[in-house]
Amino acid sequence: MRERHPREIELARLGDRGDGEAAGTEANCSNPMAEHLRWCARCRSVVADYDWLQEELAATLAAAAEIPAPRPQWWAVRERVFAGRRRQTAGWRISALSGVVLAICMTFSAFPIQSATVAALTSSPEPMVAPAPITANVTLVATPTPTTEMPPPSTPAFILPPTPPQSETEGI
Amino acid sequence: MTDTETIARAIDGDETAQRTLYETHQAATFRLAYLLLQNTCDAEEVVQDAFVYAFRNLHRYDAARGSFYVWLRVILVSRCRNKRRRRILPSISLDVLEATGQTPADPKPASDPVNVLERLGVRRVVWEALQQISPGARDALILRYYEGLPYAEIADILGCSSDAARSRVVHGKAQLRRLLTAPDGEPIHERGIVRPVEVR
Repeated sequence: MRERHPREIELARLGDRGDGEAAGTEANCSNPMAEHLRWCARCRSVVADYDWLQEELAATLAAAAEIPAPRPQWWAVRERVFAGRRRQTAGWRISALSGVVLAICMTFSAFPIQSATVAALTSSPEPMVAPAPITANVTLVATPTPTTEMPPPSTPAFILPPTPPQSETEGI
Repeated sequence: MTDTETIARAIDGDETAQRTLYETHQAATFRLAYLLLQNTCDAEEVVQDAFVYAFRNLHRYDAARGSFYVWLRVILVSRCRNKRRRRILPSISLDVLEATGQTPADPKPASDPVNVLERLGVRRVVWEALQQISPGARDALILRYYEGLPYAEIADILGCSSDAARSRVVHGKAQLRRLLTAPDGEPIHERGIVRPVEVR
């Protein structure tokens, strides 16, 4: 015999049939619990409360759900679904277009450098040709320098200062 | 046309097939969303979001893992939970609205759950108690007792283990019982008509 009353949660669990469990309180409780319920009117009353509550709850929810459902508004759902698709498609197009534009811009901005480099790399060098032998005497003619008549300078541009006379004994 | 054929055509972009899927499942998803959110406007918005997401990602649907509705339900519950988290503005009660001199556009819309439950008497109290329990437990209770799902499937939808899903259901029921139990401790199943209880 169980000496203490079971907890309320245990009693609440009793009334609830788990998945695949047999109906009825007896099937859902262990032997000590069944024994306790046999002599404890208070706990039996709690279990009966839960059974009642379960039935009332199902009936209440069924009744509450009997409200008239609004008219199906397919157009509203359709609009949102297709608007989303349009946005998605537009997004893809914009990203693809911007990619193409970016690629073109990069191509053109790199073109002068690239073309010079490519030209330098790809252009075949001029064939090396040995200088032709001299077959004729070339006379060098000096080009006459134009003569300009300069006026004689009035004063010499630079006059050396007089040097002192050297003494005869200086070298001794 | 079978469901599989419809889905195959919808994946190929057939608008008629997509529309068929939408019209077949719109009402069921709306009701589930309504139970999870307790708000018709939010439920409509979430259902539309879920369908838009589903149609955009239809190529990801795996028929081997379940029907289209099963897949859609996972999306829907996830959207409902996100919606609930994002609710920044608190809802305004009718009393506050009237106190400010305003009146609601339609004081008793046909879809108002209270109007529905008024006809059902006692169940209104159960519904109100359901609003007061933790959202995680409420979701689990709705999936268990409205959709009638096994714990493994609830676990898949809520992103937890089967044991955790069962635990949420059990704790939800315990919370509900506490809310519905009268102060004198009279058993609720004997009382029959439960009294409204204050928010704790």
